[in-house]
Amino acid sequence: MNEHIVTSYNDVMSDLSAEISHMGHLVRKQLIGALKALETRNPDLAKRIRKNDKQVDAINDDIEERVMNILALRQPVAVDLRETIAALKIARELERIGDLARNTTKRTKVILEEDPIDGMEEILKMGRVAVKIVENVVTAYEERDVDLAIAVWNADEEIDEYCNTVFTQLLSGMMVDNSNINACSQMTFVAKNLERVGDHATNIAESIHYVLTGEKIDERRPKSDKTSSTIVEI
Amino acid sequence: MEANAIQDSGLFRPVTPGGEVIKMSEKRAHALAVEPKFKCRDVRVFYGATEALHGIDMDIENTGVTALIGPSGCGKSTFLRVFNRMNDTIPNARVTGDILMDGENIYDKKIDPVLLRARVGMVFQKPNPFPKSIYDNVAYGPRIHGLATKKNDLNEIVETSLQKAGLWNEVKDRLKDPGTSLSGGQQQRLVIARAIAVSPEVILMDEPASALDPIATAKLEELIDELKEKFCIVIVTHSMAQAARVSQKTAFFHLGDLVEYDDTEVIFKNPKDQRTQDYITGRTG
Repeated sequence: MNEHIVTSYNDVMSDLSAEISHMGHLVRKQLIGALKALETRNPDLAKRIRKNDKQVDAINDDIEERVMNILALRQPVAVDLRETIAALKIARELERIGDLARNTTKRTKVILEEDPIDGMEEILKMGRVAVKIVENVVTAYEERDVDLAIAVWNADEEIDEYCNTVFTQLLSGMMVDNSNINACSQMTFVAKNLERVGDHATNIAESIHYVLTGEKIDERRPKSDKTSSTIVEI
Repeated sequence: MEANAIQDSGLFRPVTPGGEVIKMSEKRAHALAVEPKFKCRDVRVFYGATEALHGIDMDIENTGVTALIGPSGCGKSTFLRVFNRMNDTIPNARVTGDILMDGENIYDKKIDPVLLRARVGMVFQKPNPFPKSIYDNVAYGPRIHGLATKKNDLNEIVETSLQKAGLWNEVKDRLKDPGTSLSGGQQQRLVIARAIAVSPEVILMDEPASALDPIATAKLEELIDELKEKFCIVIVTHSMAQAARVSQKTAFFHLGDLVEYDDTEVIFKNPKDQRTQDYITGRTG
């Protein structure tokens, strides 16, 4: 893309992108850390991740401020307008992913008070998919890669499928051994958190697509999460 | 044809994907039903041997505001002046191609440019009131075109025109004062009142707000917004923000070519041509 004639305009726009990218990487690390704390049964790590969420929130505030300034002072149009509005939306989605990582660490605290449960491996696999999706969507943003954005958008289905499996597994686990109920029920929320991470990444992919093409992704978003209607036969 | 009749005739029956008929506003039905005000085909303007416009094809809607934008020297003002044959007044200027107004070629030999300019009024960058009273500025056109024979009729035209131009309340007690005694913004609205007084169909505006402060600009834009319901307005502006605020259609000119012409919303959110994007976002092309 050609450069703005006014170099300071270029600077504020590239600073804004850099800040989004920075936030994306921080959120990805937060998610990896939350899963690591769960996997290694490390309450200190969980606590650290919980505290770090303030940093994510602060970057979100900073991005909001930058966007307000660009709108007020530069009156962006065309690709600059799409870029500016997308930054605001993407930051909001990343902030929500950060919240989900934090919430996972809160639940981890309770889970770690109980004995290890079956089905952990599936949850962690699901977590790895979620991390990969976040990684890809951040790369799609940085590289201005519309194909990768579309791939992220389609990948949400995979995470939804995982969620359905994990959910059924946890419900069955609770039926078999009701001493697991505290840990398992917290774990269902963890699974739901990871599923929501996929949804937020999908929203980011949509924003990236709009910035790059000026058009919305025209198909309906894949939705395969069936946990809201999942039951086990008693 | 009445708007309802148009809608009921089935000629324009926009439907949702589900097959439900969307009710159009009467105004929209009219806008869709009527022919464009101007049809331009292969319009070229030469200054001596130099071709300044390279074959423009463009329709201008019957009502609403069309903005012409582009860098200096792109031909947008030259194109604007095509519509009321102002280029005739420039030595060595020559216009070729078809410019049809309501289906009639305005460059036809039988067209009197003076009468044409009563139908197609023009407002310039710098307000240019005549060195006459406020009243006489507005009454000038109706007098020379014989639009009013009685004093009362003329008074009415002057009052209505000043009201439409949003200036009446500010000048009604000082109609005998010279037009030049008004502020810049008021003078620009006076000039618009003068243009309206001869009941034109089209108002051309060449950078009408570039000499005005933000308040006077806002009043002018509010006036344009009201006038667009009844008149076809074509405006040349260097202010992207102004084009975005006041127009419904925007045309981008570059080096004598019409590069892109679309709904203003599309031009400012998602222009298709790289040259349009570079220009409106302030990038080097």
